[in-house]
Amino acid sequence: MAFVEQLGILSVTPGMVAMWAIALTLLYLAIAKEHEPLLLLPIGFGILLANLPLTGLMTPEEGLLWRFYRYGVEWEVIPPLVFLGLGAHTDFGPLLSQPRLVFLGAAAQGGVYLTFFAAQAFGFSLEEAATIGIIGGADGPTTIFLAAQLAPHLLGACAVAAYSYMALAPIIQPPIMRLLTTEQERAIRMKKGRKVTAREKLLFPIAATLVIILLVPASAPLIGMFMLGNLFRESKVVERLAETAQDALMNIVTIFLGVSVGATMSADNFLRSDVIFIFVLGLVAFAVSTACGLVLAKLMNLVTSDKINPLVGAAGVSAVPMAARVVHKIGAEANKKNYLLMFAMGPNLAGVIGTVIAAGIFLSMLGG
Amino acid sequence: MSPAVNVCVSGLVGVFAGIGLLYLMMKLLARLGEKAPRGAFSAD
Repeated sequence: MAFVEQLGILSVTPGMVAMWAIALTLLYLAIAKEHEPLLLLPIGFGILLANLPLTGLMTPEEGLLWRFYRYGVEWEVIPPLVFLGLGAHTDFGPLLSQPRLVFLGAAAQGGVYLTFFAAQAFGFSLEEAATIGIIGGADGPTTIFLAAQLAPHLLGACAVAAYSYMALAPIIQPPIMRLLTTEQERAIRMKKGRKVTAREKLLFPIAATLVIILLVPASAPLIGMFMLGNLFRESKVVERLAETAQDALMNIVTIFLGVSVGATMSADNFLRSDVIFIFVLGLVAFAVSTACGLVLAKLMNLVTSDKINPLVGAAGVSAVPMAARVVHKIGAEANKKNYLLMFAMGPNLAGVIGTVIAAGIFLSMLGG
Repeated sequence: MSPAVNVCVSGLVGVFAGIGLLYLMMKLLARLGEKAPRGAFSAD
């Protein structure tokens, strides 16, 4: 009868069934609705696998998914490699042509800190609160990087929240944009930025690496890989490396990242009352970050004659390029001649850098 | 100052300092870019 005892079906718990429902929901969103499918599909399937009984997939030292998680995420390998690919994809031209827009990426970190403060007031530890707050940056790899070091038990919930809010930016951000701006402000047409030379683009990743890492050394894994990937792209002498980083390598690490994150979401870890709080606080963080960017753009307009369309401030949350697309769409609704996409990409990229700096500061102050 | 306030204040100051330095660096790069001879680094 040993075979009967080993039947998985006899060990299924209600918690596992609930997690299957969550896994299937994510798979549905990824496949049928195409919400962040590259991440939600492997995460959903990872959840399904991690909540099947007697598989041993997450058994420490033995399980396949445990090894993915341990050596990929916990050892800080996969999130920096994702940043390598992102860097190889990124054109910093829109940011370099309008340097003042970089401050909108800093302002959008306001939601991160406000939510950090709120979360610790609700009883989360400082490490947990930092992990929840960083969701406001709407940057999946940074959230995972920070969670793996400060609050691994919250990693799955925070990662899913960050990717979900990135995907839901077209639903979450427009009401905040309309609430905080007038029709006239949304219709502002910005002056075209100057042409950026190839030399600037080439020097930027090297100089940014020095500036940021000298200020916040803990941000080195993410910023270092981000700028290395960008140097691959801008140097134009290692096209094979640039192509590999942005395509093949990015796809490979995305698979391992998604499955590993899903695998952390066992019923014991995920079906807890504080997970609801995490999703609510994460939403607050994302909304406040959007609002902070908008408000700073409006404030900047008080002291400059070259007006900024305040909508581009909303792109200061990372969520590349979703937030920039939302800004463009809302701007075009107010003024059909408005083409805000490239202007919004500046704060969008600054938001990625700002979120990494914020995560680095959390790590240096709270990390073991 | 409570630890949470300390983290918040340090974090916001750090983020704005980092981004501020990045801004200055970009302004400097813009000046270097303008001074670059045509074809510098072969891609202009």
